[in-house]
Amino acid sequence: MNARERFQNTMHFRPVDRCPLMEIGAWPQTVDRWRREGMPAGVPEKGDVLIYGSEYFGLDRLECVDIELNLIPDFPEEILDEDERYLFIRRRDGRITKGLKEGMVRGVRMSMDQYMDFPVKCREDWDAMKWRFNPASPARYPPYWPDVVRCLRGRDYPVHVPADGSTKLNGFFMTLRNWMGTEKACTVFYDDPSWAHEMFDFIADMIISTLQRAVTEVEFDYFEWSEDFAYNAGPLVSPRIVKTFFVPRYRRVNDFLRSHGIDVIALDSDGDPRLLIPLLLESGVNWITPCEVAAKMDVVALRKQYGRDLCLAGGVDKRALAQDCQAIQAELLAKLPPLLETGGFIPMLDHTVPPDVPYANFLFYLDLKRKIAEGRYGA
Amino acid sequence: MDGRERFARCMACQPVDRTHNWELGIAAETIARWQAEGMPRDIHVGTVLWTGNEYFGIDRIAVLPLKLSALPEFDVPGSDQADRADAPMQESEPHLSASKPRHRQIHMYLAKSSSILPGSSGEEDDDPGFASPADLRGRFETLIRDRFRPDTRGRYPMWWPEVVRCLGEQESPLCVPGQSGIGLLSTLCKWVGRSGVDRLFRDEVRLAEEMLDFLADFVIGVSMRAMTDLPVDWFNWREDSPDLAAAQLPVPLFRKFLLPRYRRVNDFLRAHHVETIGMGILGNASQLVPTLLEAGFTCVWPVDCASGMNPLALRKEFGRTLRMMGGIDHRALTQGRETIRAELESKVPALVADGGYLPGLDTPVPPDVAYENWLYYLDVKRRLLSACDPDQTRSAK
Repeated sequence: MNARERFQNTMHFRPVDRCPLMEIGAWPQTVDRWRREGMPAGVPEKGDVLIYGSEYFGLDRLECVDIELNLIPDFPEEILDEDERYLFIRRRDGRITKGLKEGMVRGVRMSMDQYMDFPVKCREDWDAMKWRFNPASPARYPPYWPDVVRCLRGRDYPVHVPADGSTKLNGFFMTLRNWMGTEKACTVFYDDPSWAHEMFDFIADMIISTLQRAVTEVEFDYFEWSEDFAYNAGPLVSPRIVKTFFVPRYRRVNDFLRSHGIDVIALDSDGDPRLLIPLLLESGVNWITPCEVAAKMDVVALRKQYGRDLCLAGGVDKRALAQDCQAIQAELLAKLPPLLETGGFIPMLDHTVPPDVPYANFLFYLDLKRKIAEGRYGA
Repeated sequence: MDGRERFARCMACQPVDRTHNWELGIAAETIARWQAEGMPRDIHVGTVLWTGNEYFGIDRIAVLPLKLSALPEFDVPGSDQADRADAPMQESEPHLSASKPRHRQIHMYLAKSSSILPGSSGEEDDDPGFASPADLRGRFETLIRDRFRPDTRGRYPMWWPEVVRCLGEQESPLCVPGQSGIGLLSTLCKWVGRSGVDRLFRDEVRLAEEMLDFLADFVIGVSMRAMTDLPVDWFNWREDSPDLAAAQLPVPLFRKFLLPRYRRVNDFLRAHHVETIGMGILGNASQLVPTLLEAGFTCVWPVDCASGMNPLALRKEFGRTLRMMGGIDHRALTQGRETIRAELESKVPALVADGGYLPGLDTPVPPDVAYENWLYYLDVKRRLLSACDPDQTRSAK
């Protein structure tokens, strides 16, 4: 069974030789630590990213087609100011951030940046920025597209669209948040609902128009919404707001995707979005990731509640890996056996591996996960 | 005729429907200028052009990005990945003269921070004051050898069978090793600095030869799998270190130290049917050309006119044995249309008809070139490339 068949079978609750073995990635600080602890040169093969697979770690291949849904052209990234401790940077998406210099490795800091300013403060700002979301911009697609299509034909690994991560925005909340900041993205539904409707229609139209050619020419294995619209105590937007503003547009885009054969539709949100899951299912989303344990996301409970209506990925508490082998074993044994039995589950850490995880613990975790996945645990 | 066949025939001086449209690159500052002058801002345009650009009609060259630098990389305290001294340049990075300041910065950074070999700073005006030969050798054994092992994971992209499937069946010429390139002299220069190279060639001949033999073995070792599994059209050497370009090296030294090793690797490449073995070289390399041909090179680029190289003169002297890419004086583009047309018409028809020549600017487009002039240049060149039917021209001769 190749990686693509394995993925497809897993997400459709069909028999597999084993579940897909995947991980999201590691912080650059973690990678540097692991190197000091004996990880060989040239590993991980794709920098700090693991989601696209690793031959060394035995992780299955996955690819995304790099279709740009963010602004084109972007804003010129520039350092606006700096002092001994902080950098003030205008990001490519127009946001201005304040970031701690200390501990930065390969552009990644040990703490989140503070967001200082956003490009959209009023309707006029948004009107002035719309031209940057032209679906027909040539740079939305990778160069030499026909050759990309050729390479993806006959592949043996799954491919999704669009690229994930905060620089490749696509979700409604994530887009709004990047345009106007979290606070305004939470209140605009009350302050100016017609504008919110207008923006959401604009985003949905933009996604559909941009992807039209891609979904016609490539057989994608899944689509992923990047949202991050929850924190550890629940969603940042209420179910009523989601039902009124999000669901109709999710439905429209998801129907469009399904009409092109994409029937696995993921939504990525850190935090605890549980309150919203029924609405997400109603809108055509059928996969939640990465199920952050620290925010009380429990994959076993979610499976119990939603059965085969909802696929799951993640759900393994990364904090266990900072402890010891016993904690790792307990975490894996509590979650994997019941979920692997039913399918529709890709066990992986609930986010990137933080720098308090020793290399030996990560290796132990991967080894044990593989044993359980292959039915070799305890054999 | 697909792009791969067209490139192969061009470089073999055989008839083609039109000549492969080649350009080297664009300086980052030039892109900003052109955007201000009306170039669309929503197209794919980066500092590299030689791998192709759909908007400007530059033909594609596919690249296998082998990693031929140190693994693990040398630590440069406080530096980001992009500034790591030995990190390969990204495919989108500028190179050759447009990137001189950046290259210079990187090399100086390496020289100041890495201390790969004792006393080696890379500063041109610095006497490295090497320690004893034994110490020098010891450092080579401990710091270099392990980092330049051909079999280290990460030198090849993952999922090799799939890479072979995609690259093996595509319709563009395939170049190895890609933008990061490698040169025997430039790598030695990275290891020991310019003054270190001087010292090695003068006082530590045996060690210099051993290091270069080691490097040649390394290049062969890394390339072996690619050469076996893929139809490689072009192997791309680069001796464009701003600290010590090969053109600056006295020919006798090149012949003594570099020629035998280049010959060995190039023979290996030819044995694996690589027809174009190119040398990217800064400055005026005219005097070096006979030695390069003897070493198995078939092609030089970018034929730097400002330093006195002239593709017409080279063709006259070396005939079709020497193939060329570049050779159009970039300074013409800072002037008017007449100068641009005159520069192109003086070189392109004759050389393209003769074959074995891909006309292009002799440097990444510098920021004193107006966008309008660039478009005019591309337009005239495109028409000349299409108009030149080498078959007819040769028959008429």
